[in-house]
Amino acid sequence: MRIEAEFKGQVDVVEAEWIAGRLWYHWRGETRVWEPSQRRGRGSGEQIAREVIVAPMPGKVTKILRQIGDPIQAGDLILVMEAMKMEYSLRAEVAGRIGRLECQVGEQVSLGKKLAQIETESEAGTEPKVDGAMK
Amino acid sequence: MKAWAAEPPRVPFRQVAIANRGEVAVRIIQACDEMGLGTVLLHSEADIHTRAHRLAGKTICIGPAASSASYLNIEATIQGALAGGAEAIHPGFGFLSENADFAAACERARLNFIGPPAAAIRKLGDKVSAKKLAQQLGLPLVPGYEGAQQDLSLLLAKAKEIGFPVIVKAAAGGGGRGMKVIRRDDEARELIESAQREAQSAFGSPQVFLEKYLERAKHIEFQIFGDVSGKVIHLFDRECSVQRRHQKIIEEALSPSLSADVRRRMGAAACAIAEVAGYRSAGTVEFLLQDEQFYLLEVNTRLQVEHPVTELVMGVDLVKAQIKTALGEPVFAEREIWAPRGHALECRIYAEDPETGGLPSIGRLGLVRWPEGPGRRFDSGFESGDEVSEFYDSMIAKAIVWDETRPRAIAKMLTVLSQSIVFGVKTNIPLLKEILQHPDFVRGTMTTRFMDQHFSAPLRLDPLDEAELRFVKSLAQKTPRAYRSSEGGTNPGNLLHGVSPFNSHWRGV
Repeated sequence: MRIEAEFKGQVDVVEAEWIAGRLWYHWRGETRVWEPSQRRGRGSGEQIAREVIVAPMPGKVTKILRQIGDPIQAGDLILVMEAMKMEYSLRAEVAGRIGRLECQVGEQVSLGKKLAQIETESEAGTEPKVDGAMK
Repeated sequence: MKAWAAEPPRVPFRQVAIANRGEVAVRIIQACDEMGLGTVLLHSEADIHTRAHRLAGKTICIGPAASSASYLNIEATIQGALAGGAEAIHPGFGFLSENADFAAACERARLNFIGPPAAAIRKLGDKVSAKKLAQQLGLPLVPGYEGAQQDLSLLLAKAKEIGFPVIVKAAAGGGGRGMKVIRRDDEARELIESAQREAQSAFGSPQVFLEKYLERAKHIEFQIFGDVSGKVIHLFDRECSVQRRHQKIIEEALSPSLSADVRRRMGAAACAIAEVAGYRSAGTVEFLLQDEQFYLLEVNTRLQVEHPVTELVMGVDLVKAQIKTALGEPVFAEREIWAPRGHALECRIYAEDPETGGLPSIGRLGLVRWPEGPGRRFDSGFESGDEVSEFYDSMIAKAIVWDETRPRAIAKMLTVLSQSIVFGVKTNIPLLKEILQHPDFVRGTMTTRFMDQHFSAPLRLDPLDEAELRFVKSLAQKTPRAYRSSEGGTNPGNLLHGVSPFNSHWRGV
């Protein structure tokens, strides 16, 4: 709905709407979303551990390339997901072993679901990385 | 040439089934309304709260959300059309639109398939057979492998033989699904397998073929149309070089890149291959253009997503032309002179997060507003309160503008995008605005590698400064939390927890 608010001494009229705890607003030619408490980790409130691969979007798991116990090198492809008819590759840059697999091929998973956990030898690691399959 | 003359006579129809969803379903319903034809929307369980569902004369749920069980289910589609009293089916684009078996099944069920004859789909829609036909006509093709032998080891050997970079594509595909560029030997296996899986899930066949990937090519396509006279004409060209992962993002008519001579030769080639195949209705012949040389890429035997840009510069209605042709009526007068006027641009609005490089964004829509005006057109399948689900592709709307020149069309599109509002899902609008202002795009010199070269990294939106943050916080306080822009809409909440219309399959028939 149209809201009036002051910016640098002038009154701006802005479209704004709360949806699921987030403020959507259209201001100065741009639509933005604002969260009252800027939470970390996509969608979920909890801190996502670096060695955990979570679903970056809702979709279907179409391929699991590694088994529990498999040694993992940095950059290895662990899982393939499909959403909105496109494939997405899920990789982990952290080296180690597959500790847990919490999904199955064909499973429909929701945003932020934990899919796999990598056990690292050291504490060092980077965040699970996702990229389009067709780079 | 009247290759289709032996077909059974066309029966007139008064009721059209729409075997599709989203904005194209709306487009077809509106054309039928204008022609005084009844409409039956054949939809999945997930698409109850959509614009097409509200606009259709009749709706029939033909299956669950998964496309394979609904929009790709030939039997359910035909049964639904017959039960709805339809005498014709418009397949839109994607899904069953290029499926010759579906076109043939429609004929058997005495449903008039609004599109090309099944035989023409077989000849041109299958990329391998289209290439054979092009070879016979002496049309230039990109070097590649399109054999029936599909062993992984053979495909790997062929890829090496063609020389990297090589593109792997679904033989039955379109729309960028099942397409990958292989740049190095060591990624070939993974990418070919991935393309085969995508081909299987999107088109029901894992068959792929390989092609030399042209690095500096432009994507140019010709809109063709065959009407009941048996003659195929073209309605000039479109350029769709702005693509990401082989999905088009921005299209325009005409292409800013063609000389008069190249345009004339490409147009003649497009008409030639279609006429030989006995083509009728709307179709598109796609080419790659590099260094003034053009190569035939594929033929899309259907209406194209980007058909509106052609409609705006040519002053035609391609959907109505398709329907008239299916009714057996002539569309184009013999001696009419076809001249394009002005420039049209289309931006595809995808529900995706530009800050993550385009991961799908789904959810229930809040406020949705398109800034209507002269020379502006919005083809959209969703309204406030509708749910964008993960089951289908992420295109929620198309913004199309026309103006007298290309620079003015670009300026108009930038204005339109700045004034467009979509709440509830993130969209690629910020990315579209960046693209429209990129020097390569402004000059018209972009190639199919444009997105990879300039926009491979996720977009960075400027963080709010202190004054802006104060403004947004005051906005947050003033905006009532209970307000919903969709109030009064038809969506009672999460559609999947509502009563499925599939449970009452034939009710309301």
